[in-house]
This record gives sequence, C-alpha cells and structure tokens, in this order.
Amino acid sequence: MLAEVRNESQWVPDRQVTLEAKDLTIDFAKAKSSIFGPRSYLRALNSLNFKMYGHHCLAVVGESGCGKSTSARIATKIHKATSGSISYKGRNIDDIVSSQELRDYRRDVQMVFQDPFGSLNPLHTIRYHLERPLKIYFNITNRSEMEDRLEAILTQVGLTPAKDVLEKFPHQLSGGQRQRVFLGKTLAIGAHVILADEPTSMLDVSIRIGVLNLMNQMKQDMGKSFMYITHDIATARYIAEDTMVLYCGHMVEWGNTEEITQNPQHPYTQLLLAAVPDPSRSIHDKLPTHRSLETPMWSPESKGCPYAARCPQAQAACTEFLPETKEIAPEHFIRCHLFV
Amino acid sequence: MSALIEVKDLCVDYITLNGRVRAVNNVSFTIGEGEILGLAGESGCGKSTIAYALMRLHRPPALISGGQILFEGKNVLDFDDETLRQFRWKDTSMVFQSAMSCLNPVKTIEYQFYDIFKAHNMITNRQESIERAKELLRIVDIPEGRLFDYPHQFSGGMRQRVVIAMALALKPKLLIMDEPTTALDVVIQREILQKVYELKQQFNFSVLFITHDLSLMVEFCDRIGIMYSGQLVEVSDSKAILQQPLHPYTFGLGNAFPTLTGELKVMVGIPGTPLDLSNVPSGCRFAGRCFKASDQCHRVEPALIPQAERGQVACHQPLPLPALFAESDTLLNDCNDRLQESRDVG
Ligand SMILES: Nc1ncnc2c1ncn2[C@@H]1O[C@H](COP(=O)(O)OP(=O)(O)OP(=O)(O)O)[C@@H](O)[C@H]1O
Ligand SMILES: Nc1ncnc2c1ncn2[C@@H]1O[C@H](COP(=O)(O)OP(=O)(O)OP(=O)(O)O)[C@@H](O)[C@H]1O
Ligand code: SF4
Ligand SMILES: [Mg+2]
Ligand SMILES: [Mg+2]
Repeated sequence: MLAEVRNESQWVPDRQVTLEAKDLTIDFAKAKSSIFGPRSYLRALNSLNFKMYGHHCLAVVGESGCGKSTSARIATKIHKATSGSISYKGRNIDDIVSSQELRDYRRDVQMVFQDPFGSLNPLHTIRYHLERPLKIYFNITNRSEMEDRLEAILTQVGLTPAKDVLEKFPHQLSGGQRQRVFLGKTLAIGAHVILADEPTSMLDVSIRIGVLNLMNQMKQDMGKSFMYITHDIATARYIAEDTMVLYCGHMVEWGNTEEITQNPQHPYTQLLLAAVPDPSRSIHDKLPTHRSLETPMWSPESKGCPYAARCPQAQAACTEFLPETKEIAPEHFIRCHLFV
Repeated sequence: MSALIEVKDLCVDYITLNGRVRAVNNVSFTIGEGEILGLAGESGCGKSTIAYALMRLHRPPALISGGQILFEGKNVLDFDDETLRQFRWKDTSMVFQSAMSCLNPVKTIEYQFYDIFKAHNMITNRQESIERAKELLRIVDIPEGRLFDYPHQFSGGMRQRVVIAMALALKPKLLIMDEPTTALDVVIQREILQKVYELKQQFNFSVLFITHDLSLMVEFCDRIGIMYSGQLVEVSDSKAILQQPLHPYTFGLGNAFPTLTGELKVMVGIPGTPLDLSNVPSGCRFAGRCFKASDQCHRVEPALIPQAERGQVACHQPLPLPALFAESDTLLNDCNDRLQESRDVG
C-alpha cells in the first residue's frame, strides 16, 4: 500500500491543488498589563506558504504551541488571518460569505479532532450521526438508498457488521472505532479536504495504525486531501508525502517527507528529529548542541530567525533578518541563513 | 545483578458495583539493582495499578488480593505504618505524568524541598535545606538561582525536572516513573531521560518505567515486560522485544509502530479490541485476537515460563527466532489475512 502511495506517477497527474496558503499571518491580542497600556500582540503564524493536493497528505509537525492547530483553524474559518490568505480551489476563503457558499465550503473542508468522544454526541446513535449529513447534503430520503449508503460508509471505514454498529451509542465503541465513525462522518458529509488535528494521539498503539491506514486509504482510493497535524513524526513519515516543520509560527523546513526526515538540514529540524524516539537509537545518543532556552514568543515587532536564540550556528544576520526561502534539493525547502 | 525488588504472583482487584474486577492477575517479575525495567501494553492493561501497588499507594476501590512484593527480601505487604512511611520516601519514589501539577502553586520550590527534608528529619536547619535543594536543582540542570521561584514561573519541562529532583531528594533505591514525559515535547523528553539515566549511573538506583511509546522504551530500558489484560505475557531484553519477539501480541505491537528510520513498510496493527476485564474468557486472554491461536489456546491458560537463551513468555506457541521463520513476511501476510477477516467488529 505504501509503495503505491509513494509511486509518484500514480498521483501526480491528478495532483489538484485544494487548499493553498499564501503569506498566511495571524496575530492574537495578548492580555493587557494595564487598561491604559498599549495592546500587544502575539504573532502565532508568520508568512506560511503551503499547498495541499487531492490524493495527498501534508503533515504539520513541531513542538507544542508552534502554531499547528492555528493553521487548520484558519482554514476552517474559525479564525481570520491578519494578513495573507488561504484559498480553496483558487478562491480566497475570505470571499466566501453567502450562506449557500459557506455551506458548501463547510461541507468540503472538515476537521477531525484529537478526542473522538468529544466530537460525537453521546446522546445519539451512530446511525443519527451518519444519517443527518446524508439527508442535509445529499437529500437522501429513500429508506433503502439510505441503508445502502450507511452500509457502504461503515464498510469503507472498516466497521462491520454495519447493522450492529449503526444502533450503538458512541460510548459503546472503543476510541479507535469512534475515530473511524468520525472519519465515516466526513465521508457522509462528502468532504474533500480533511484537516486531522492529532487524530490518533489518544488511541492505543495497536488501534492507531488501523486509523492511519484508513486515512491512507481515503487519500489513495477516494482522492481525499489530508492535513495531518501531529507530534509523532514517525507516523507523519508513514502517511504523508509532504511535511512542513513549524517553529514558533514559522515554516523552517518543508518538502518531501522522506527528504525532510532522512536528510534534515535546518538546525531546528536536526534537533527535533534527533530527539524522536527510535528503536535504532539509544538514550545515550547526544542531541545536537543547542541552547536550552524557552521558545521565544513571536510578536509583529520581532525580527530575525525565530531559532536564532537557541541555534548554536547563529550568525550576525540571524538576529537581524528573517531568512529567505531556498530550495536546497528538489522538493526540499529551507529558511536558514546558513543556506543562502 | 541481585534483585532489589521481587514481585510474586501479585493480584490487584477493583471492587466495583458489578463485582470484583481483577486488573492485575498473578504478575511476577524482578528488578535488579541499577536496572531499568519497562512495562508496556495497551491502555487499561494494569501498568499504573502495578506501579501504585508496589508502593502500596493504591486507594480503594483497589485492593491487593494476593501475592508478595519483596523489597530487599522483606514483604512490603507486611510493613507497619512507620516502616511503610520510611519505605515510601527513602527507599522508593514515584514520578507520574501529571506530576508537575502536584507542586504546590502557592509555595516556592525552596519551601517544598524544605517540607520534604523536614518530614524525614534529613536536616537540622533551613540553611542546610537550601544547600541540599540547590545541589538537587543543579543535578537536573536548573540554575540554583531559581530556587525561590514559584512553580508557575517554570515551563512544563522545568517543572517536571523539579519533580524529578524532589523524587531524588531522599536518594531512593527504586524510582517509579509512570509516563513521566508524555505531556512534553520530544526534545525536553530526551533531555530529561538522559539526565535520569546519568543519575542512575551515578547513584545506582533501579527504575520501573512505564510509557506507551515502545520506541522510547526500547531506548531507555534494560528489560521490558509486555502486559496484556492484567497479565505479564512476555519479559525480554529490550533490544530483543522488537527484533525477536516471543509472544504474538509483542509481534503485533512491533508491527503497529512506524519508525523514523529504516525501511518504510505497511503496518497492520492487531485486529480486535482489548478484553473487558469483567468478562474474561478461559484459556489465553489474547486468543481472540491472535493469528496463531489454536484450540488449546482457547482452553488452557499459558503460564509465564523462560525460553532457552531468550526471555520469558506466556504462550502455547511462542514465535521462533526470526532467522527460523523462513520469511518473517509470511508471518506478516498471515497476520494481514487474519486482519482482513476479522476487521474491527463493532
Ligand atoms: N484564540 C487564541 N487567542 C490567543 N492566542 C492563541 C489562540 N489560539 C492559539 N493561540 C496561541 O497561538 C500559538 C499557537 O497555538 P496552536 O494551538 O496553533 O499550537 P499547536 O502547535 O497546535 O500546539 P499543540 O501541539 O500544543 O496543540 C500558541 O502560542 C497559543 O498560545
Ligand atoms: N478506580 C477504579 N475502579 C474500577 N476499575 C478501575 C479503577 N482504576 C482502574 N481500573 C481498571 O483497572 C484496569 C487497569 O488500569 P490501569 O490504570 O492500571 O491501566 P494502565 O495500564 O495504567 O492504562 P493507561 O495506559 O491508560 O494508563 C483498567 O481496566 C481500568 O478500567
Ligand atoms: S497462547 Fe495461543 S492465543 Fe495466546 S498468544 Fe500464544 S498463540 Fe496466541
Ligand atoms: Mg494543537
Ligand atoms: Mg496508567
């Protein structure tokens, strides 16, 4: 299955851009220290540029607070970008305002969350969760057509026998099964773009891989476009063709996943990847040197490379200017003054 | 390596409205002096229950219903209150996942160290307490100038290091760590565990380490015990766990873990879901999910027994050395077929 995914010729021809971010930047107002003091801002994302494609998965990795979830929240119109934009199939999502268009957009772009329990209503059966979107978005009223669709969806997400599963309540299913139901719901809704925010971090190992395989299958066989937000870079390597590494709201290194994970070049990516647990490593293996400082809070006034304060290789330019993007190998991009 | 702690046939029950549930069933293992033993297994398999029981920190509805816990040859279950109090702080200590929230938010770090030392008559005056606390902070790489700060002034990773420093305050012989770094980023996680390892080398204490991250466990531990449904099903050297698993469940776990390095291959996971502990079938508890299960497996419960030159395993048909299963791929395919058949039934 993986080998097929990695076979470029299979997906490149219909490589259709779904979501595209251009210079995406967002500031959040910080609590004021006094009523009369000036408002100050936290720059949670600074100038993100990425594309997502059909039949394709983009992994977003980086430490806690680096802005991973915020990028997905802007895409689902929960937050509005301060500057820059996200477009969907070429159209700026800020221009999507009429109720019909909004409805279509919300159908097409769906989020999947960490906690599968929180995202399913405990008072309703699985049938209710899946029937509703089929009625609303596809106007299915015919009983037998509905049953066929429900069965097809549950089979696609690996929950069989469908008849039994349909009558269950969320608490009667395991975490992995609930996450499958939720992915099934995105199918019932007819979403094309699925933004999965740590969808497996609460699942047990033995179950987690099944959900990842399901996502892989939805991507490959049904052409869904995935964003996979995760702390777990080994699983990102497993399902994502592309990866972007965020540090403090900035893309520091991105491109082909295999290239990024096996040949990291940015000092931060090198540190991050060296710290990932791996059976071939030992706890004695030293991390690349870095200064153990807390991650800086970026503000609209901040300048330079966000990693400069921790980077052992920082040069004079690093504290002055944000590095330009440079393609250091095919499909391998970096923002670092060491590569200009 | 002589055994510091020896657990024999430990059983722990939870008394629930629907009757007794045995969360830990006849578990036996030893931890040597200076050894790091890991416990791995799916959520709810009983890892934390064991951790708490070892220190007799379990609370109702939990009840130790059988077995022995021998610490330096003496049964912890027979300790009177005073011996137990000494044992809990001086001989063992525990760090858990949410430990950083256990720091008292309205007291400085210095005061909290002082509290510990005072409670155990370790010091004669405040100044002595301060000196010792500074030394402990230095050990976990926190500038001693931060001693008089409050917990909220530290980052999550620093708070967890403070907790580890406190756990080491009384020079325990056994350190129990239950998911100590789960909430932290990987860089901080590695820094903390490297520190603990260094300290272990220096002071030669033993560690019981619990995590859901098998890769991390293989890196950090000397030996690993795999638990399934309240029982220990395999104990092996940590490097052997993934490379030459003995138990089909261990094999399944190994094939559910994508790795950062090495060949990219399709992983299959383990079909089915964990057992409901209030309704345990006869025979091997894993039989319903096992790709090797035979009739015997469904009837007779396998005991944990040593395998020649390898670890211990509780299985009627332990896996041969990988070199012997002609192609481990055949095994995987086998597994795959079974998975297709029995795909998560609702
Ligand atoms: N609504 C908000 N108001 C103010 N600040 C916010 C808001 N949402 C996020 N932030 C800040 O923006 C930054 C990025 O947050 P985000 O949730 O995107 O991080 P993340 O990478 O998803 O982290 P995690 O891995 O912990 O989920 C953080 O510093 C966070 O505190
Ligand atoms: N207070 C309680 N009352 C009843 N049953 C309990 C109680 N606490 C735990 N259990 C049960 O005991 C079993 C073992 O729980 P335990 O917390 O030891 O698992 P664990 O292996 O540490 O899991 P995790 O990886 O999720 O931390 C579980 O099946 C759980 O449902
Ligand atoms: S005893 Fe049988 S069912 Fe249990 S793990 Fe071994 S082979 Fe599988
Ligand atoms: Mg997040
Ligand atoms: Mg636990």
